[in-house]
Amino acid sequence: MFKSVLIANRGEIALRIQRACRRLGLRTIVVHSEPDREALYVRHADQALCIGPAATAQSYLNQKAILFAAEVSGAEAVHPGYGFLSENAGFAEQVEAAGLTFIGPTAASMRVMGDKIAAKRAMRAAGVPCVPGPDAALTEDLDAVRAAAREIGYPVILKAAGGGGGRGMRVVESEGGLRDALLLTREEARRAFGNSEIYVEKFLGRPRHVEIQVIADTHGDAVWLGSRDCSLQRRHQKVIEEAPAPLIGDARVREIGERCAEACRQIGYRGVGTFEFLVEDDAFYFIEMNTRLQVEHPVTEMTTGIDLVEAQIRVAQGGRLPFRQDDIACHGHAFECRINAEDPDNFVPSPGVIDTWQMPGGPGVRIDSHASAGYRVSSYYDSLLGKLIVHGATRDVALARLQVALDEARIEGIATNLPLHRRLVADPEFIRGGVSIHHLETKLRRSGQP
Amino acid sequence: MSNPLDHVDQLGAWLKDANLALLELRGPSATLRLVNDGASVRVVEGEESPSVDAPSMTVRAPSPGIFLDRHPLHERAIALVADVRAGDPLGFLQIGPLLLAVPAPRAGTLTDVLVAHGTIVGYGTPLFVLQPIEGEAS
Repeated sequence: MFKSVLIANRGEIALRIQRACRRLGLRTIVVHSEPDREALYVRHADQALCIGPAATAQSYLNQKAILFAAEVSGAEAVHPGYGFLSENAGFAEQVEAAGLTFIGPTAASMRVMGDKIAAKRAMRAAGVPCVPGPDAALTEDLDAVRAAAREIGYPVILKAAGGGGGRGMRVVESEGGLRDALLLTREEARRAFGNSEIYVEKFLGRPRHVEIQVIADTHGDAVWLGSRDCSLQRRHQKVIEEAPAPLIGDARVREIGERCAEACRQIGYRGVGTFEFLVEDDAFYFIEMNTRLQVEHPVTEMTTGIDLVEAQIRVAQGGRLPFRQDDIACHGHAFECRINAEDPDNFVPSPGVIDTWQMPGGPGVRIDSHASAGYRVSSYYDSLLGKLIVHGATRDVALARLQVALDEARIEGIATNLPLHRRLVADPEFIRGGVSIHHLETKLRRSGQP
Repeated sequence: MSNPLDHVDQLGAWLKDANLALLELRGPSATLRLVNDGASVRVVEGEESPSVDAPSMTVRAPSPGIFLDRHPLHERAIALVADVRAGDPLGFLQIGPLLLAVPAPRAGTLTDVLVAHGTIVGYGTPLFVLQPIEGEAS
């Protein structure tokens, strides 16, 4: 059983992982880039090692430097966090080949889920509902593609097998536009992902983004930990998340959750993961599985009372899940606002030094952030400064706490998206709940924002 | 080969379109940094590569590793105030079974070793100080 963990990430998630490790009595080794040298979690590390300059290719994506740091520090496990190398099957293999534990699923699971067609096939086999469309790559035969699209019914969407996060997709309204869209999407997929395979699915007009959190151990047990709604997105980036997903019947969520847990057992999944669905008219359609911890995991922690990172580390140590499905219940409601260093009107990143950092408090308020007054926001990394998370006995109580907390929050010296959050939590449709994934962008367009 | 400086306008337009804050191109002798502040894209003076004419130079660790001031088969470390040629190994970084030499980036006189033998170092840790060889043009 490992007693030391190398944290191969930065920012708020590095701090979050470090807190869990320290509570478990594990030694933490933090690797960092040159500009992150002064970060709070670097100072709190049992051992900190610089692995490269600011550019991510030379630091947080530099597999060799991270493996070297693991070797010289004597680390026994690697936690990849989210982003960077967290879904890189080759890195997971290298970590294990070096005799260390990768805190995440096997490389084989990551490969299946990284290929959207293979993932869809695996999910269908496990009984998880998928978007209508064949679970095979489209051939070059245009007539066969036309037939497949006709069977699904227009509008359809063409997607790159190697894509994800909203990239490599094109909507086709009618058969007249199919040929050109096919050529364009195939070429884009080849250029962007090195894999020209594409597939076709039914295009859903006003879906919600709902996801199911799962965790599995290495003894064949898997449970689901409730739903999250992450429909409030801009350019496929989530802005506000909540748990549970509102206005969907408990029985429906339970049925889907059970299928997700069963799919984990069938594919021999281990660790935490998220099944992402589009939901329209109460019907769930699987889109992809994220084989890692998610940015929005705290809303599930607040409603289940389970420390997901701690549980993730324990199952990586070979332990059995410390809870059964019957022990898990959803208590109250939680929201998370992603606080980004960006202009609230044009969304351009806003690097610089934070002069004032005043975060809210009170019952049910949690801040996950590595930032503070005097912290320099680098232009090299994504703009996430931290997360404001609130919990309440009901959605209304949680929303009231969120509104007050956002009013209290003050960050000066750089621009942040706090003003956008304040507007969103006063939006009648968001207050009602259940908005579609297009809601935020439509609202922004109406007010002349990009 | 075309020079990136000839394409700054186009690169700037792409940066704005893609909503990216920064583009940095690094070459052997220069760095081009384009910064997008939302209103406009401007060229920012990049960090310059260390000049070989600098009066003294700190040699830094190129990678994490355990610093060795001598090869494991050698009994003695390189002597201080020794003159070295560009490319001469000044010390080593041990990473498990791997041994990486830390070469002198230029000719000079080794005047200081900044880290004790056996210390774990990270990327960029200052290891040695090199001074120009006396009597040679600085």
